[in-house]
Amino acid sequence: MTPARIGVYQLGYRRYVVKRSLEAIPSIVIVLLVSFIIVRVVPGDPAQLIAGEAASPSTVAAIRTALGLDKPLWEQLIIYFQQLSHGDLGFSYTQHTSVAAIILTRLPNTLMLVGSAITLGVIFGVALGCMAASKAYSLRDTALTIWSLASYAAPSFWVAQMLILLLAVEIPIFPAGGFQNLRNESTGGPAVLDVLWHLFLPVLTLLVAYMAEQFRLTRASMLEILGQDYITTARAKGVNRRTVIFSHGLRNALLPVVTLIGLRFGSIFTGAVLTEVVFGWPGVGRLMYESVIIRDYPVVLGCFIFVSSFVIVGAFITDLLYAAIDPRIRYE
Amino acid sequence: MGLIIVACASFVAVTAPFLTPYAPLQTSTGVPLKPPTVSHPLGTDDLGRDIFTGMVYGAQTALIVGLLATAIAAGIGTTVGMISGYHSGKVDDVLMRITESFIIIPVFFMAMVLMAFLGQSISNVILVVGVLSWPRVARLVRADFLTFREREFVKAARMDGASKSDIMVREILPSVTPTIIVASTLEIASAILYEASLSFLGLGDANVASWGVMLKYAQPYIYQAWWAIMFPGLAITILVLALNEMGDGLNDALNPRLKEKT
Repeated sequence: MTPARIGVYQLGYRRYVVKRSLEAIPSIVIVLLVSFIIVRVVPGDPAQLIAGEAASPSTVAAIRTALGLDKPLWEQLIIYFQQLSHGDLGFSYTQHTSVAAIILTRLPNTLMLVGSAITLGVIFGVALGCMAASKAYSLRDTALTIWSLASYAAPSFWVAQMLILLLAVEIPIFPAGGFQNLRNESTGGPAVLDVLWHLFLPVLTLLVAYMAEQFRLTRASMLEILGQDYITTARAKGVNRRTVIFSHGLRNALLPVVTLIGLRFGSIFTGAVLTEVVFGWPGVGRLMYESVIIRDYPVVLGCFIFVSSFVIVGAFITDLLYAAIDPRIRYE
Repeated sequence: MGLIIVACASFVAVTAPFLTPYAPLQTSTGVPLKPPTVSHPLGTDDLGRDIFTGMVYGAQTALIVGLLATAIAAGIGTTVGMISGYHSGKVDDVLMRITESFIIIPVFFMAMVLMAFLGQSISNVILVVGVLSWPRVARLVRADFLTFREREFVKAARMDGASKSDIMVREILPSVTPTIIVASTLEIASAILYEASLSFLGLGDANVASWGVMLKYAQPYIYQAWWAIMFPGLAITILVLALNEMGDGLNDALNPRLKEKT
């Protein structure tokens, strides 16, 4: 039987699901509560805050009734959660659209960025980690390790700027920002290429940090595995060195690495916000930044709730998947 | 090695006012957007501010924010970890649930929201970063407490009739201190990164010189003034790297047991 199939029925899996739910659900609740409270706690009239500065008194009054701001607090809470359950994240009075709509428009752009970065980051990070571990403490290994430490320490927006400097200013290969070439609008095939060309530097920025993490994890994990007895046995049996590293070592080392991907969603999205801002990439991260600048609070909160939920739920689901595959995880 | 770099940075931060004739954010000290020259060793930015001055005062900001925010995080984190690690059962369970719940929330987004609403002052930055960083410390402290709880000297103290809080603070805490120090060092690095990121987005204190803010101002002029981009960012990277190295080094020095495994 494949592990995945018996995994779900094995002892401890249900308990693990419960345990993780009990952590994920309060997280989301905290996020929602913070969003709820902060608008009402800040000095000033919440309705005015939401309406923005250019709103007319009638708009402000309308907001007040819609959100029930003159009702007692617990009634407001109920209205709040009712709205949320309908997917209503509020209304932006500055942009005259529902917050949810705005976010959904920008979401694919961010997913493009984050998705590519995670996929490529895992592939390259694991590959490099493997390479480093196979010749541990060699020059190659030391160089890679130093590079990964530096990547980890560098702020992502600075990496973005440096990449622009190097690859867009000094040697003009890639565009310094934007989503598409606005001067030569194209459609169909060329448009896709155009977007990909614009996507390259932002993804590279996110890759740098993410790859470094995957690299360190893989390397550490591989080193631990390779030091174990069954590896020595395989070598003694005369198994080809490459086979030993890949099929024996890597397969087992991979599990903890891949488990941690779920936990890293938060930092990847954080990096995405900063990267989107530097490159002018029209994603959700940049949306949040722009709305903060113009004080469009409904959008700010909407983005916050959305991204946080996305990250929390994403991490939760990936955790459950990996616990199904690897029973050891449930007992940590 | 990392210690040396951090020491240098601290030295620079403290002696900042003596190293440069310019006030921290003084504009028009020279011709704008000029590359490094003698009177402006690292060049000037778009408003004629001296980059070197910014670097030096930025060091002050980075370290102050890092230290204070970490102090807050360590304070809360140690307390929670202590209580949670010492008691088993319900108290531990509840506290751990709360801690884990907070860890999963994306910190930076929460920070953005809080800064947007609470107003942008340096003290808010310190508070927000500090308050959002306690869970990591709590986790580590708790783990340590769990280890030490069953040790002989603790049992002896309990038999002596020492009160719970006495045991926690006076007996176990000193042994946990190395962990706290290592965790704090790494948290300082993390706090510096958060502050830089918040400043870069314009959510920090506009009246305070900060490396993040410098990068923000330099952004529109990326085609003209590479020096404004390279130096502040390099400073952040080096300081954070140094702190991480210091933390790792401290870990090796203070936790010899772990080192035996390699």
